[in-house]
Order: sequence, then C-alpha cells, then structure tokens
Amino acid sequence: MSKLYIIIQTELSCSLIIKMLYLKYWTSLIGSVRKMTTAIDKSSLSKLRKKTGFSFINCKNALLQFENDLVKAEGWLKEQAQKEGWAKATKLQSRPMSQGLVGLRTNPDNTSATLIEVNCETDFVARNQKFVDLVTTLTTVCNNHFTSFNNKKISLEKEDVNLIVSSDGRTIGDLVAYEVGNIGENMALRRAVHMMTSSNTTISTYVHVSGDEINVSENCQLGKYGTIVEFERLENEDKTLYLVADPFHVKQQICQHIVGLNPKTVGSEDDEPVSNKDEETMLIYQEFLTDPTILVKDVLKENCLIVKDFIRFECGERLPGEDL
Amino acid sequence: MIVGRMIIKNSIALNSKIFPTAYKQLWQCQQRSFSYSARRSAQPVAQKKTYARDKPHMNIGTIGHVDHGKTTLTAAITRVLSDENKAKFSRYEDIDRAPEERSRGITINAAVVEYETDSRHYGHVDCPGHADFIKNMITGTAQMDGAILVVAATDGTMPQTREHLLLAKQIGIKKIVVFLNKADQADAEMLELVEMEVRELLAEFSYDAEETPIIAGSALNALDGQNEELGLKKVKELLTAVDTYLPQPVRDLEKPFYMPIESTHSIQGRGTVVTGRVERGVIKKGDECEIMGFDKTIKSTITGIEMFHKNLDRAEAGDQLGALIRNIKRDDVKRGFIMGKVGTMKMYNHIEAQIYLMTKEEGGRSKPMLNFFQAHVFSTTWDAPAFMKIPAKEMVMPGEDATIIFTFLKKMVLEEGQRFTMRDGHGTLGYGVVAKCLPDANLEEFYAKKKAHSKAKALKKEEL
Repeated sequence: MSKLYIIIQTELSCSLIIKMLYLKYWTSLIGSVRKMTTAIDKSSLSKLRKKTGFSFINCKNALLQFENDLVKAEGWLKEQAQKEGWAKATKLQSRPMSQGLVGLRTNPDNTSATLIEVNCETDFVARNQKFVDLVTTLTTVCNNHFTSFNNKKISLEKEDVNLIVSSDGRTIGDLVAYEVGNIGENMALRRAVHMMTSSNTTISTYVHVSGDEINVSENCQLGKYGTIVEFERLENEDKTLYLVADPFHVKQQICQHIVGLNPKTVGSEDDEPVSNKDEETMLIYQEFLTDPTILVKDVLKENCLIVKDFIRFECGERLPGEDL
Repeated sequence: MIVGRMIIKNSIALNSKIFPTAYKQLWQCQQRSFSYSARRSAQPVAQKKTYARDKPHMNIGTIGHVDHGKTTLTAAITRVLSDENKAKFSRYEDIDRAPEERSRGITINAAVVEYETDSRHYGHVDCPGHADFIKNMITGTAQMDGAILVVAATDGTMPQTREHLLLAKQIGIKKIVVFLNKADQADAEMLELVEMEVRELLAEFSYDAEETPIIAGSALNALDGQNEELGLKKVKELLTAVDTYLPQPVRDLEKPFYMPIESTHSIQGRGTVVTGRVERGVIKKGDECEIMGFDKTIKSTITGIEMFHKNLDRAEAGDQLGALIRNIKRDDVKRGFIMGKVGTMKMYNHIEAQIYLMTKEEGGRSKPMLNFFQAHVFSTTWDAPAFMKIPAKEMVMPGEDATIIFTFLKKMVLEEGQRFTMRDGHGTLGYGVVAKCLPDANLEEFYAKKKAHSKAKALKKEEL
C-alpha cells in the first residue's frame, strides 16, 4: 500500500517537474521571441513595408529570419508571395464574388478581340489600381494566347482559363493568386471569349464603365459591361440606300444598344417578335436605344449591315445553370 | 379665423388624398425620427430599456477591408455597451448575416445596429460595398455623419484603403476615427508604423492627419471578454473618441427657418394662407420671410400662425401649420414655393447630382438613361422637368449610381444635400441628392444644344 503511495507520489512529482520544465521552456521561448522582436530594426521594417507593400507581419517575420538583412528579407518575401497568395486564394475560394471588371482588348488590325470577366468581393477593390492592373494584364495574356490559335471563336470557362500560361511562365491562376495575397480578397477570372473576323466581316466593341473613368494602359478597355459585335456589310444594289455617312458611328450605337438593352439573340426575320417591346430579347426587334421610334432591324437594313454574332458580358451577372 | 381653421384642417385631409406622393415623401422625411419615437414609446408592453430622449442622435459607420474586423468591432461595441445597459448585444453572426434592406424599393446591403453612449445615441451602419454606401446616402436611410476606419495592425493599410477614404470623402464625411485592430498580434514597433502609415494616407485625402484619433486595440478581445487592456478599455476609448471628435450634426431646430408650401388659400378679409410642414428652424408671428420658387422671389411678413385649430406665436421644425402672409395674392404663390428666413435660400436651374437609377426588379425601368433624357424631378413639395447631362459618359444603366448634371427650365430653391425623386410617365426611375449647385445655365444656349441634338436624330431618320 505504502509502495503504491510512493509510486503515485513520485509520478505526481515527476509530472510536476515536467510541467514546470515545460513552463520554463515556454517562458524562455516567449522571452526569446520578445528579445528577437525588440531586435528588429524599426526603420528596416518601415523601409521593407514601403518598398514591398507586403503586410507588416510578413515583413517582420522576414526581418526576423534574416536578422534585419533588407536584401535577403525582400528576396524571401517575394519568393513567399506566390506561395502565400496560393494559400490565401485557397483559403478564400469559397467566399462569394459579385463585383469586378470586364476587360476588352482588340488587336491593332481590328481582326479579333478578347473579352474577359474578372471577379472580386467588393466594388472597393474593383476600383483599385492594383485590380485594374491585374485585369489589364490578364486581358492581354488571354488575347495573346487566343490569337495564336487562329480560331473563329473561342469561349473558355474558369478552370481552363486559369491554365493559360503568360510570357513569364506563370499561369493565369498564379497571377490571380499573387494579387489575392496582396489585396486579401477572393478573386477569379470567370470566363473569356475571343472572336475573329471572317473575310467579309468586321468587329466593333463597346465597354461601359460604372462609376468613374478607369485609367488603363496597353489599349485595354475596362468596365462593368462589355460587348464584341461582328458585322457584315451588304453590297447594296440600290446605291440610294447607302446614306449614313459614318458607319463607325452606327456600329458604335448598335454596340451601345446591346450593352444597354441586353438582347439574348440576334433573331431573324423568320422569328416572331413578342408583343411587349420592353420584353423583346431578339436584337433586331428591339427598339433602338438612341431612337426608340425605330427598330434595330430598320437601322441595320438602312445601313446595309447585318449583325452576324455578338458577345455581351455583364460583370457579376448570373449565368445559365449557375448559382451565384 | 374659423374659416382659416377649416381650410387648414381640410387642406391637410385633402393633401393626403390629392398628393399621395408628396405625403409619402413627407412621411419618408420623418420616417427616421418617427420610427425612433415609436420604438421608444412602445416600452410599457415588454419591459424594454428606457432611453433618455434628450440624447442627440447621430449615424456613424465602419469602413475598412473585409478581413480587418469591422463586424467584430461592431459586435464588440454592442457587447461592451450592453454591460452598461446602453445597447442590445448583437452577435457577430447576426450582424454578418444582416438581410438586404429595402429602402424605398431599393435593395441595400446594410447591417444596422444601435447603441448609446453617455452623450449620444448612435445608429451604426456597415455596408459591404461602395455602391451600398452611396445608395444609403442618396435615399437618406442612415446617412452617415461620421466614420470609423478599421485597419488591422498586422496587415497595415490595404491597397483598397484608398478607395475606402475616397468613398468617405464622396459621401461627405468630414472627420474620421481610426481603430487599429488586432493589436494583440502586433508589437509596439508595428503599431507605431501602422499608425504613421494611416496618418500619411489620411493626409493624402485631406483629413486632419494630426488630430485624427487612432486607437489600437483588439475587437476580438473585447468581444470575448479577454485581455481587458486591449479589449474593453480600448473599445471604450474608441467610443470616447467617437463622442468627442466626430462633430454633432446641426439639429434641424437650430437651422434657419424653411418650409415647403403644400397649398395656398385665400381667406376673405384676411388674406392668403399658406400651409406646410416646417422642415427646419423656428418661426415667430411677425417674422419677415421670403417665398421663392419657379423663378420668382417674394418678400412678405408672417402675420399669423395657426396649428391644430389654435393660434400660435411660434412654430418649429416638425410642425404642420398654416401661415397668414401679408400683401400676397393667392395667385402669386402656389404649391412648390418655399417659405424661409430672408437671405438663407437660393434658386438654381443647374445642379450636379448623385443619382441612383433603379433596376427593373426594384420598380425602375429596364432601359439605360442617355444624355438629354428628360426626367420629372420631385423634391420637397415641388416637381419640375429637368434635362440630364452625363459628363464623361454615354449612359447610366439601371442599378447604377452616377454623377450627372440637371438643367431645370425654371429656377427652383435648391441646396447641397437636398434629396429628390426622378419619375417619368410610367413611374419612379430613381433617386438623387444634390451634390453641388452650379452657376446658372444659359437656357437659350441649352435649348440650342438640345435642338441640335434632336435635329441630328431627326435628320438621321429622314436620311434613313
């Protein structure tokens, strides 16, 4: 009995000692952390943060690791950024996104154009220059990629778009994840479409911006709505019909109409128009936006134009078969 | 005077029949204060807390990055104040999952909680997006008078903090209080640097970088009731800063007298009586006044005030009254004129406004608005046609807010911050608020431009 008691006693004291040791270990650890913390050079931290824009806590960790060596710390941060971005992107991937921008780029010879949609969580971010730069880059990368295929029309969903590789070897997914790490919101390239002209057609584009004008570089247009419209110009037998002086202007107005009135299809003369003009989803039977007294089909006819095809993106719109 | 009374009584009854829209507007103007008092007077039924009615009310909001703890801070504030019976504790989940509000038919994402400190009663609003804050401002629901900017000390300011401050500027917030959150995970050096960074940014957006209070603490600690130094104490410190640094908006009573005229009546042997609800200020029998609207300015003296069948010497903001005015014929004034203190009102025919165009689902129209669009603008008791000019853009889509220029055909009493409704022949199109009163538009020039615009359209049709 007494033996057992002793055993219990020793066990107890043992565990006590272990606990005490553990405590001591911890306090010393905390102490050392504190010591290291205070060892950080404040001006280095400030410099690193200003230079890289990475979060304070990451800058601090980098300086801790490289004992205030700014160059090494910066190098490490940049290395980590891609990894961190992916980690953050994975963490945030389930958060809903309803905001963002569409990006549009037309090739200089006007033979093809690319329209993409990039989403984020808040419209604050959608207005931020970093996001604007990201969408500009992604539009360019997608356009370069698509142009190399020489296909009439390419339409890609999220999974496939993200695999596209940019000129520096990073995928679109990488580029997005990097900015997710930077901006701290869930973001994704949702869809991309590329359209090319045929021998007898031309394309026109239009982008509508919500809010203030967006400063963009690289010949991109960014906004909330975007459209690419393919026109065919008819040879007119009766020259007197050929009246409107500026075909560019008419095409622009048709593009604007498509953004404004959201037709679903072009429609043909064989189709029956619906009775309520406000609910018409066929382009040709809609009232013309700039002049509601005439229909789009009349505008087209009198200008010897045919709309062959069009793409319209509204940022954040619900797509068929998708729960947003 | 009996006739006068009758007329006023009838006019009020008539008004509600004849001018339902105007009544609705008036009603909406009062809604905030009304719901407020209704809430308070409903006490005896359930054993609710008693509010001191004399505390001034103010609306504030939180702005900041999604992960920096705005909702946690809001929950923590209610938690801390609920211990003193000054708030009902709102849990994080309840604030986070706040349903979409529908204000005047418009869907706004906003979480609203209320609480009070020793000196004020607060409505606290948190919106997820820029557009929601703008809609709040335009419709006047929980218009923000001040803001708390939340920045996590671990991250520092985010790229989009610029957009947050830009918004604060846009909705007219003059002063900001900053909460550096997650201070429990940062050290003194970091806190100091983040504070510096925030002050730099504040200065860039011309907020007072030196005087702006910046409080570092942990909203989570305060919510969980841990680490009193960084939790509870800092939240209290923040509330003190909010109480003292954010200026109290001037109360309607203290502003100059302003009353939109609802109807006019001629009373034999006495003269003209105008009726309406005093929106601001105080009026006394014998006061001089100015009556303005539709390009006209008339000076007069108020020789009698009557309310609820009684003669009064004095009336104030909120009162519905009839006023007898000297030497004015009934036909000289009409509904839509504004009666106010001499020299405090101005008429304009040219304004810059922030508008929100409702979507079809919200009861608006499905088509966008283009330049030269003609809307019928309703504000206070007047309505007038106005032509829209969209600077730097070709159209405004339904569901969008935009800055536009309105040109009125007649000069109306307008001022910054004045709210209005836009309608067309079919229904309400959207709402707006005056952002800037501009120098008068040259109407002849305007007509010429408009003519050229429609001529271009007509010509095209002819050509077609």
